[in-house]
Amino acid sequence: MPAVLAICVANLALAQDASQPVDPLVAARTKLRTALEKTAALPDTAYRASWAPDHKNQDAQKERANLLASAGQGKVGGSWHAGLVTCTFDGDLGDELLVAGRRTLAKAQNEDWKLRCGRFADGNAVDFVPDPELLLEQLASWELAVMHRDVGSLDDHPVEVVSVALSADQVTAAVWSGLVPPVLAANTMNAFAMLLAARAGGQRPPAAQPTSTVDLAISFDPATGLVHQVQFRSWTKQPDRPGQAMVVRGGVVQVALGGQPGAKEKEEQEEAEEETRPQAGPMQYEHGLPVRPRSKQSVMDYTVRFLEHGKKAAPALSAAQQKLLRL
Amino acid sequence: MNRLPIGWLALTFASLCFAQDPATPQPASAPDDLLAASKVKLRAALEKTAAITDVAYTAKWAEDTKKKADPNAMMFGAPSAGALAGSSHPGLRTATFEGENGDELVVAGPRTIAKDGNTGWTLRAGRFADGNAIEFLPDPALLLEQLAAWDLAVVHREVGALDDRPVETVTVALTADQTTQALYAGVIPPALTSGAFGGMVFQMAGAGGARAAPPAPESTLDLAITFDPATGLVQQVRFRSWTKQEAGGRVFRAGGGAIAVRAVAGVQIGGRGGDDAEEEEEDDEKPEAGKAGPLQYEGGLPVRPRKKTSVVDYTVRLRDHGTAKAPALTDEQKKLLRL
Repeated sequence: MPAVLAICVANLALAQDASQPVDPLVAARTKLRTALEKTAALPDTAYRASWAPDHKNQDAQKERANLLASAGQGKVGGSWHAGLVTCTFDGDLGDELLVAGRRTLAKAQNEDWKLRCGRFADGNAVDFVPDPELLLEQLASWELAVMHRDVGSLDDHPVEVVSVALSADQVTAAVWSGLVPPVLAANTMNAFAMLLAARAGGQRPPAAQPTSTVDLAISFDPATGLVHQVQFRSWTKQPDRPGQAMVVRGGVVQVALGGQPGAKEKEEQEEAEEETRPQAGPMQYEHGLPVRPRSKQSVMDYTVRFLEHGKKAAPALSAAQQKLLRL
Repeated sequence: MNRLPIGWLALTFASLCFAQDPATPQPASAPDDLLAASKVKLRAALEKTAAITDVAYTAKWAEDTKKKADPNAMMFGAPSAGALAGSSHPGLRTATFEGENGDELVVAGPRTIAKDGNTGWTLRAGRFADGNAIEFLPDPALLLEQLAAWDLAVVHREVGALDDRPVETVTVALTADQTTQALYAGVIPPALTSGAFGGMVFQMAGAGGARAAPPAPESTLDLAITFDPATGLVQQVRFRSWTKQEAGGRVFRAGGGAIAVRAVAGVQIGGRGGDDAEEEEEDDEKPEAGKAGPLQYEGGLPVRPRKKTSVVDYTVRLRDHGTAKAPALTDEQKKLLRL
C-alpha cells in the first residue's frame, strides 16, 4: 500500500509539472533565437529596408526632422546571396549597389556600373547600406532581453511579434558594426565640440557611445520558423536648444538651423499635455514596440522586411560587373 | 708613334665626345621613345604585381608642408594624416596603424574586425574598435589593379635606388577623370583632394531639395611609380596632390563627399591671416619653382610652385612580394569574420 501511495503521489507531482505553464516570454525567446539562426542561414532572400524619423504631429520635431531629412532617411530593396548583396535605392536617381566581398559597384540611372568605395555612382557618400544577413546573425548571437510577445499578422501571414529591449552595449555594437543606420542612435554630446577635440592635435578621444534607447520588435512566422520583419525604434533626447541639431555623417557635419517663432512654446505646451496624461500602469505596446512619451525625444524607425526566403534568384552578372568585382 | 692612323684619331675623337656627355645638362624629360618604353614596362610591372598575393605594405598620407603653424589650422586640425603597415592576402587584408591607440584591423570579404589597446577583436563597419570612423583604409591590390587598368600618361622617367635596390621611377600625370575615379573608388585617401579640413565639410540644411552630385576634385595629382627593372615588380607608389587654396588661405574642396555650404548665416570659418607673410615665406622656399624652363623632378615627382597651394602626399611601399605570410587567425577572429 505505501508503494501504491508513493506512485500516486509521484504521478500527481509529474502531472502538476506538465501542467505548469512555461513562461511565455522564455518560450518566445527560444523560438526567436531559432528563427533568427534559421533565417540568417538562408541566402537568396529578398529584403526591403527603410529608415526615417517617426513623428506624430509634433510640428517642432517634424520641422527638425525635415531639415535633416536627407541625412536621416533612406529606403532600399534588394537581396542577399552567397557572397553577393544587391541594393536598389528608392528615388529619382536610380541608385544601385552591388557588394561582393570587399568590392562595391555603384550605378546611377542610365549610367554604367562603376567601382566605388562607400559612395554612390555620382560620388556622394553612402551613409548606410543594409546588411540583412549580418543583422540576423548578430541578433541571433546576442542575449536578447525579451520584454513582450504578441500575435498578429503581417501581409496576411500569422506572425508572432517579440519585443526586445536592447542593452546600451548592444546598441553601441549595433551602430558601430553597421547593423543599423548611424542616425538611429545618436549621442547628445555636442558633435562640434567632439570634432574640435578630436582634431585639435593630441590623442584621439574614443567615440562617444550612443545614448539612445533602442526598442526592437521581431516578427516571425511560428509555422515556418522564419523571421519576416525586424523593426527598430530609437528614442534620443533632443538637445536643450530647440531648433538646432547637428549630426556628423560620412565626414560631413550637418547643422540644422530651424525653429519657427513660437515652436518652442508649442512644444512646451505639448510636453505639458503629455505629462498630464496618466502614465502609470504597465507599458503599452503598438505593433510590438513600446509606447513611450515623445516629449523632447527624437524618434527614428528602421524596418527590415524579409521576403522570398531562400527563393530569390541572384542576379546574373555581366562580364563587366564580374571584371570590376574580380569574380 | 708619330703617324697615328686616321681611324684611331676618329675613335679618340668619338670617345672624347662621349666623355663629355655626362657633363652636359640633361634634358628634364627623357625622349619620347624612352617614355613609351617605360610605359610598357610600367604596365607590365603593375599587372605582375597586382596578380601577386601575399604582399606586405606600408602606407602613409600626410600634408607636405614647410609652413609655420597656423592658429586657425590648429583649431580645425591639419589635413588628416595616417600611417600604417599591413599585408594583403587572398580574401584577407590586415592593417596596423601607427599611434598610441594601437589600432588594428582585419578585413575578410565584407567583414571587418577591429582591435585597439583597450578593446579586443570586435566586429566593426568603417570604424576603429573605439567607434571612431576610419577615414581611409589602403587597399594595395585595388590600387595596383586600377593603375594597371588605366591608360597612364607617362611624362618622365629616371633611375635611382630604393633601399639599396636599383629602380626605375616613372612619373605619371593623372587626368581629372582618373583623379576622380581614384578618389571615389577608394584608391587614394580623401585627404589627398580635400585640403585643410581633411574632408570635413559643412552642410547647412534648411533648404531641403534633391541630392546634388559633389563637385569633382580639382586637385592636380602627380604620381611616381617605382619598380625594379630586374624583377619587374612595383616597389613604391607615391601620389602628391596640389590643391589651390581659396581666398583667405582656406581650402574648401570636394573629397570626403558632398560639399554643400548652404544658408550659411552667421557662420564664419577661420581663414589664414597674414597672406603676405605666407607668400613671402613660400617664395623663399623654391626660388626657381614654377619659373620658365622645363619641369624639374624630385624623387620622380614634379616640383611645382607651392604658393597658396595645399600639398598632400600618399605613399605606398610594397615588400615581401608573394612571400608575406597571412596571420594565423584565432577561432574568435574566424567566428567574427565568418571564416
